[in-house]
This record gives sequence, structure tokens and C-alpha cells, in this order.
Amino acid sequence: MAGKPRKIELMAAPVSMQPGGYVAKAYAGRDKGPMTPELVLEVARPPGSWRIRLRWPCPEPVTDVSGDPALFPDAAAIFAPQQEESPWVTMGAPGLGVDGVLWRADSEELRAIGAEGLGSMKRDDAPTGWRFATKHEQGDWQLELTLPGWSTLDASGRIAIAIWRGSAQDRGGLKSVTPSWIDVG
Amino acid sequence: MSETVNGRQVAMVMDLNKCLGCQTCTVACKKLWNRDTGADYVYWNSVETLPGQGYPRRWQETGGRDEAGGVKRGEIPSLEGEYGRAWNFNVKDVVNSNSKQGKTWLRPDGDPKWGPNWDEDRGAGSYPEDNHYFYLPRICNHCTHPACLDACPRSAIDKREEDGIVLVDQDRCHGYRFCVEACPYKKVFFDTERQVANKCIFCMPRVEEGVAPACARQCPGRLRFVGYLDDEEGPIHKLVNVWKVALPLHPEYGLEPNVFYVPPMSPSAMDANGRPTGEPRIPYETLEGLFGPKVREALATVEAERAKRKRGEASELMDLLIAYDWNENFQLGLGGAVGPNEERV
Repeated sequence: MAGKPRKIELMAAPVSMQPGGYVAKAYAGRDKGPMTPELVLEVARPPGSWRIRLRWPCPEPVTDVSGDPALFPDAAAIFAPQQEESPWVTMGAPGLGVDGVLWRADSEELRAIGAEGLGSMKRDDAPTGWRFATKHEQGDWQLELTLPGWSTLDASGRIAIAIWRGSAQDRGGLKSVTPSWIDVG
Repeated sequence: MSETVNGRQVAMVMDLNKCLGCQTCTVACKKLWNRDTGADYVYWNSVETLPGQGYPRRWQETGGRDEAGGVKRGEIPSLEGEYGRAWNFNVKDVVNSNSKQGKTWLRPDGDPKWGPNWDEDRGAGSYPEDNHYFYLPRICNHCTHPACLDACPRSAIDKREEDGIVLVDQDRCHGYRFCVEACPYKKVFFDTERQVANKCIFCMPRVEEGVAPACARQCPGRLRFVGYLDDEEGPIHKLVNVWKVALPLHPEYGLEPNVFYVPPMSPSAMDANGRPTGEPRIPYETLEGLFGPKVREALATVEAERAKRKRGEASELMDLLIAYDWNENFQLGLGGAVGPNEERV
């Protein structure tokens, strides 16, 4: 990796803005601190591609959720704004979309994601050539994503990152996120 | 809370005085809707012994509503702890052992510590003074204000305008399980293979054809009534609104469930000398804890009508509850008619 590692402090995604009448009330106060406090980001730009490496602490990795409805997997998402004004904290807004990639620790495949606001995320097959390598070592997840032809990031040069800690029952809007868009271009 | 004003509401009444605990309803539902591997542990219809821990275990304590109807953080039941893993049995070993010395007995794999009906027929109280139990069949209540719908950040749960049936859109569902957590009746489940929520659909394809849900049709005890709440000629309206003997489960949650129960009567408890005390074996407090403050009134009505019938007097309520003509239990047509495709049996 040619990029310089950057340590980034994360914040808990605000629960008060979660859609529906339950999550915001039931989880009020959970966003005082993130379940995953920080990550290390390295970004490189091989020709026609992006190589993004993340490392974050996760002392109790959850990689297998099969068979138990109470288990959630560790996961991470990286997304980029489709428009200059696309908000990061709500994963976009109507007409101001975001798109990116979702990795789940219980899956062998990446998923492409797109959203135009909270509760609107769509998942699809990842573009051909998008791949990942991962390992859990010394209490940390290390995830390296190779993402050729990600035109949205090519255009914007900015990403935001979300981390879900399965052991804390993170899912949906219960996640740790970067406090703003991050310039990587 | 979400506003879900509906055109019509299909509903069910279950007369707990007639439930045998035979689980035919459970099997009918399971066979019809939940045979996938990821739903092994799932019972949209369950029958639990009360007093008891229920299915899933401690469901009355782990939902997303408090006793004042306020939102509280619920729990997602675990497979081993609350639902109970579906057992596999050593059937082949047993069959093969017939020709060998030393019989192999049928037993489940592993060492299960809990499962549906683990505490079946245990109940509470002391023999012979006041021992008691009764069966509580449960399906999704298709609430007027569903906690599951309110909990879904993806709007993947819908309450149908035409009949009030609450459905999960599994194409929209991302498996977050806030619905599982929030439902105070714990009647939303999670398919662990397909990674989406699922729940009782009130046999929607049958209802659309005027046929009652499988759990109701298969019930040997004839304890289930199905119809529309606003059908003044139908059994639901009569039992819930006219006679007021059918009560919702945990009305204090404020969700307005649309499954109602005729609470169970019970014989008198006995004193130390074996004489009846006049107090019911199933304490009013137990029933009020389930069905709210109108239990005594409902039981008094049922008892009074039963007494009338015993005296040889007419009682519309008793005729209805006895279900002389079972077809009358299911009124899914308009104007109190038996559903258009309902077979008369």
C-alpha cells in the first residue's frame, strides 16, 4: 500500500434520527459513545482502481451467525457521495445519493450498496473485480478492499465509513461512523 | 406510534375453555408455512402451558413495551436460551437396533436444556388444594398499532388496508430484527438461512379466498372463531363487542391486538380439609395479568349464561361458544355469510 495510514476517530451514528418510532426511543443514549472508537485507514490508487485498507479493534469477532437469531455479524461499509451535497450521516438524501461497498464477516462476497437517506439502503451484487482480503489478528479486524472502476469515488474523492460490531448487536443505524466525509483523492 | 387506520380488520377469538393443548394448530401452521431449515425453530402458532415460561421463554418480560404501553428496549430471544433448538432424533439407529442385541432408544441429539413446551402441563399451585394450568394458543395478534411496524427503520412491515393483516416485505427486510425485539408478544421471527424476518400471515392466501386460517380450520376443539370485527352478524363482533367475553392479550401494551380470548373458567380451589373455597383455581390475578381488568366481568357473563343453559333456557352465547355448527365459527364472507370458498364440514 502506497497510502499513509491515518488514524480516524469514529462517532456513534445518532439514534435520534432513526426512522420509525422504536429505535430512537429504545436506544436513546446509546450514541453517547461509539462501539468502535477508531480505525486506521490507508488508501492507495493503483491505475483504474482503489485499494482501501481498514484496521479497527474488535475483541470479540462474530463471523458465523448461522442458526441463531440473536447473533449479528461484524461488518463494514465504505461509501462515496454521488453529489457534492450528499449528506454522509444519513447515507444520502432523496436525490442526493451515496454508493459503495458492504463487507460482512459472515459472507464470502462483497455487496454493492446504494442509498438516498436512512432506511433506503439497497444491496446488490458487487461489480466484477471488486474483492477483499481480511483477517482478524491481535484483537483487530484488517480488511483490504480492491475496488476497480468505482466511478463515484473517482469523481468525488471522498468516502465515509461505517463499522458494525456484531457482539454489541450493532446493525442498521446502530453503528460507528466517521464524523464527516474523508478526503482520499 | 404509527397510525394504522384500516378499512376492515380480520380477527380471531379463541375460547380457552375448549383448548386441549393438542398442538394440532401448531402442526397445521408449521407444515403449511415453516418447513425451511432457517425456520426450524419458528412456530407462528404455538400453544403454551400457563402458568409457565411460554414460547419463547420469558416472552412476557422481553418485549419492547412496558406496562404503561411505553417503548422500552426489548430483547432478541436466542436459539438455545429462549426458543430451543429443533431436535434431530436418532431414528436410523433405533430402526437398525431392532435386529441387534441391546435396544437403542429414541433420543434427541445433544443435551437440550429448553424447548417449546418444555414445561408443558406443569402449571402452578399445590395438589390437591389449588393446582392448575391452562393452555394459551398464540399467533401474531395483527395489532391495530403494530410494534413491529413501528420498529422497522426500513418500512418493510405493512398493515393491509383491506383486512388489517400485518405482513413483512422480505424483499425490503435487511434482517435488523428490531421488529423481533420490539414485539411484546414475540411473534416476529427471523429466518436464519434467508436472513429476513418472518411472521404469521393470518393465512392471507386462504383468507383472500374466504377460507379460515389453517390453525383455526384444523382445531379439533372448535375453539377458534374467525371473522371481521365490523361484521355485526359474525361471531367476532358478538363475542368481543356484544357479549364482551373475548378479551385481548396484554391490552396494557396499547397495541390493540386483534386476537381475543375467552378466559378459562376453573373449578374451586379446596381448603386443607378438601372443601371448596369458592375461589377459582386459576387466580383472577393470573388471568388479569394476561387479559386485563375485564376478566371477572367476562367470566361472570360466561358463568351466568352457562347457568341459564343448564336450566334449559336459551343462551345465544352458549350456542355460539359450543359451536354446534362449526361452520358458523368462520365468517369471512360479507354480511355474516360463511366464506364463499369455505367447505361446510
